[in-house]
Amino acid sequence: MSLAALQQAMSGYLINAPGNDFTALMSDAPGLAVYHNNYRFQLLDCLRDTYEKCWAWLGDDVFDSAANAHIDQHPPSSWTLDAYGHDFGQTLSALHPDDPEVAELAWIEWAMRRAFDGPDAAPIDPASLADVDWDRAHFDMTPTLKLATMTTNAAAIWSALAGEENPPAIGILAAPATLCVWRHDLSPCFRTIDDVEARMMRLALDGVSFGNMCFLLTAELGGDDAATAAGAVLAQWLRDGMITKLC
Amino acid sequence: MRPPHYPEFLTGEVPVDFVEVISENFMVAGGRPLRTLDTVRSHYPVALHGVSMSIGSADGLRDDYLTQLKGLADRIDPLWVSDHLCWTGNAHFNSHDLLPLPYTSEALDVVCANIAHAQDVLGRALLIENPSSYLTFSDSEMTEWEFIAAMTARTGCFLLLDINNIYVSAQNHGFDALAYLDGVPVDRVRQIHLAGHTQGDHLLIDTHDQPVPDPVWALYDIACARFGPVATMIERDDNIPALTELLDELAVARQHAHTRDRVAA
Repeated sequence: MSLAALQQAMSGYLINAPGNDFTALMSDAPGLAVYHNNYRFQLLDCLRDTYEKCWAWLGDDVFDSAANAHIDQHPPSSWTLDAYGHDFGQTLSALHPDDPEVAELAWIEWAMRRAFDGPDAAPIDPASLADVDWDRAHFDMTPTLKLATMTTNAAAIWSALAGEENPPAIGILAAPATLCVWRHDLSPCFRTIDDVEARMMRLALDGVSFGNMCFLLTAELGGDDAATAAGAVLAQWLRDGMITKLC
Repeated sequence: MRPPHYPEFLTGEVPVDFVEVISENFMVAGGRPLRTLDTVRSHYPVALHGVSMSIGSADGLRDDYLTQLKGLADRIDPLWVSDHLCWTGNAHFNSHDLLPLPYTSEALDVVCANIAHAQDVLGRALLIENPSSYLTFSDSEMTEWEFIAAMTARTGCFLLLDINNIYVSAQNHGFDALAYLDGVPVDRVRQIHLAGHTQGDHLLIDTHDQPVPDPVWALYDIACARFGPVATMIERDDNIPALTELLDELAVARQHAHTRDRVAA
């Protein structure tokens, strides 16, 4: 057997569990079992670590059942274990269609994990804003910034679990809300943002200038309210270190 | 260096000669991991120890992996870069485990070609570590130490000798650990790992989660006599104890090495 064929067969054995053709080639069954157990346990451990709030929320049995289903269907392909489980939220959503907070909790965990070691980008110094032509200014937002629409109180559940407090009962929001995740200096963080800020943030990420943002907001909110709201959002972004460049 | 010990290493006051880190933990875009490594590097020489190069992969090496590893090496100027004599997957699958190779002439060709490619990209000689293993292949045409000796001769790479892994594999496969040490080319050994293991149902398992046991210390004594002063590291992958406990174990290692030096002299 060529080396490539052997490696293909052993990979199939690890993915598909004992009993495939590779087993017949090997007489050393206890040794094979060690590799099989290592493979599955490492992935389970990885999912538990990455999605520790989901694990705490669902409990050992339900979480491990979902994790094992994911491992069966999604063998890792990246060289880095950090990439494993990027689509675990979809598995949870499929397994728990009536519990939307589970997949939303998973989204927060994945976004926070990626923000943790995402690209560095220094925030702009507010003192440097004196000469900015605000009408034409475009924002570079911090590269770790991610947005998602939440329909449940998953953010409150996450915060309670992080603080080792009793989490609140599942609650469906009166209206969907936008959650943003980013890293401020070295700390991943998130907050729920209102509709005006969400609209501005999506426009900023799409490369729309501040002047055009204000024009669009004015059409929706009226002149004075739009200017006040845009100014407040801008000040918040500066405090949060979300803007890395104005050009 | 493991995460529970980061705060102590960040002070620069831990009495070690160098620090070894898992390369992949720092092959990231930014954030706290790289900030931590930069600070630690300002205090200590750092060795990069990888687990994902898959040097025995018949599909060759992943260029994106090598590119990121080179970026990290350029950033921190490591003492050396090491990885394992194993494969971890193929072009479409990664087991994230150190899987065993058959010791055949074909595998030797593959491993040597991959090492040569990695050394070209990285611009430095690699250190390759012997893995522990739980199965052998009837196709094997040579012993692990014969394979390693041929590998170093053909590629110019160096060795990171894991004494615990030699012991574990010798127990599991019934070969003579002393013959293994005798077969390793003396001038290629740059680093030694010491660790512990666990007795499984049928095999010794390389858990790296226990103190160094007496049989491994005994083998280390022989290795010190054969290879002379070699940079040595206590390795723990799990069940990480307080740093003081590991420093105590390192002091024992220093005592063993010092004793053997005097005997050898």
